[in-house]
Amino acid sequence: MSSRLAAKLNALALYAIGLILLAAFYFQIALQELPCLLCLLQRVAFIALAVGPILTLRHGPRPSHYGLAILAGLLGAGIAARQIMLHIAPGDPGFGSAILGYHFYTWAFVCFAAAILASAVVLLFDAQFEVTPPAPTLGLFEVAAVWLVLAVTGFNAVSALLECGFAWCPANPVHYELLYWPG
Amino acid sequence: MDFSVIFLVFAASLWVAWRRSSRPALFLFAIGMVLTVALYLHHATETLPVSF
Repeated sequence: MSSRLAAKLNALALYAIGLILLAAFYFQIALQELPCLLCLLQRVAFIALAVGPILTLRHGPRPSHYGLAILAGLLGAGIAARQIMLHIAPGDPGFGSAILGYHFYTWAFVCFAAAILASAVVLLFDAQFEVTPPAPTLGLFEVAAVWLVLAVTGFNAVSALLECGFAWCPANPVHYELLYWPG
Repeated sequence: MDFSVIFLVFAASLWVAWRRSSRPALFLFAIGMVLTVALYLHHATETLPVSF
């Protein structure tokens, strides 16, 4: 696997992460579904998943970058698995809307598992790590992927501040703390 | 507030990974992961409706 191909694959991973987080924002804004605490933690894990690919784009492929992705994937899969378990009992309607029959946290678990699998598969190609390659030349495709993830991360920080205010996030948020005027 | 801080830590990690060297990005990544696990343990208090 060449350094150029690795850059393309990592940029594709960043687009996937960006689109997942944008889909979560669609549910939050268009359908007025405030993210729960575990939902927010899964968003955090998706963003953590982006650190490895960005390092690969900037500094070239290294095993440690894929190690970061595996760690973030394991964290996200663990959080998503807990939320699946919370709603596993028969008759439980689950949390939020379903997409293609599955709730967002179930899809999140599948995505984190896929990220771990993809990282493990890419690690099998030793040739890319044998010499320290120069940082790959990046095109608009790769640069736009990085800026997409950075922008969505910023949106999440602002959204979490609006939702939780300047205190600990409530267990069951029902309104935006900073946009709520009682009475 | 707690989540905003974690999002900002990871935003800083992404920014540093993109604009600077990898070591500070790894350091921020590690801080973010520790904070995320701590926040998860702080909030994951509900009993799961399962038995093994």
